[in-house]
Amino acid sequence: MTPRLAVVVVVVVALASGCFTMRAQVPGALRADLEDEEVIVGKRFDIEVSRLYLFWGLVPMADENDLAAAMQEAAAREGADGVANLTFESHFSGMDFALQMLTVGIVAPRTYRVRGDLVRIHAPPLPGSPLLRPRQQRGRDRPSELPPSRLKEAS
Amino acid sequence: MKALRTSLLSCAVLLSGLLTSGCYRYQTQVPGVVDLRTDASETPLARPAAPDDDELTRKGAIGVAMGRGVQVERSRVTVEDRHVFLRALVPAFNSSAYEELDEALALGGGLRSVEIGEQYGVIDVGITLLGAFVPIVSYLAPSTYTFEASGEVLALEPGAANRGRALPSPLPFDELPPPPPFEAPE
Repeated sequence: MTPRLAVVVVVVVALASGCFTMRAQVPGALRADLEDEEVIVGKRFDIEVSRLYLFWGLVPMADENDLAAAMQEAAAREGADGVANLTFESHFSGMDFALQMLTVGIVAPRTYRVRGDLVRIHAPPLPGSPLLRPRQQRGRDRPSELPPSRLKEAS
Repeated sequence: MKALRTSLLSCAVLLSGLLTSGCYRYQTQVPGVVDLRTDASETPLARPAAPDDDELTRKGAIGVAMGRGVQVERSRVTVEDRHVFLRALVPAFNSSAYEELDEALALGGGLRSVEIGEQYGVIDVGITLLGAFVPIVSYLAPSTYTFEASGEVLALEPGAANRGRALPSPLPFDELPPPPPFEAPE
């Protein structure tokens, strides 16, 4: 393979993977089976992180689990069980734009923001491995099997 | 001198717009409640059918321009939504993936192993370049940005429609009574 062809292949592969590719894991489970009275809304949380990309967004430099870890930390700190009204936002801020201009795109950050309401859930947790350390007053809330009425037979 | 001043003023206005509002800014509200207590790894999965709605499950040229929407493969659901911007600043249409996420969540009543993300992919580059060569349209400089989400569909009984609504907070956490104990099934 000639050097020119190798460069073309590298560029094509890089472009195929996309620029500013971001993946954030949402910890736990997303549920739509809860009743209104089972969800008690508490504090609002707002997390903003700036993720760094190199070479016009082709090379991500950040940990994909930073948002998930921040969300879990906020919930554990406030004694919450989950998050409601979760909003995901992303944009190039003024500083991101200025840094891109100064470095001609070699250093290209992008800002991500996750907001929501920390909630307590007065419903049984779903069967699975526990994620939050149980609080002392939640000793009765040990993760247990979901009552049969909550589960549908898998189709 | 006057022309130079006008040019500088125009650049200053554009730059201030960019610096304050940000480029490719979009936000998506995620429906449902994120339960952080467990990872739901032992919850049974559902195998739903793809939605019938053509607006949510898009194919062909519409699928390329606006994203494929809600796609289902066995127990896994993916959401692809392409947001259209004008001059990278103004969201033109399809600026939120809430409807697609709501439909994906309604397939089984819950999702686990959820990932949300975005990218400026090859199709987005292609649409941006195509828009640059179309007369009149090129003046608006249309471009797109792709939102993606995926998860495994859980088999849960659907509950009340408390998705996406702001729930009132009656008391601070510290003043709340302890929740009732949960009884393990026999």
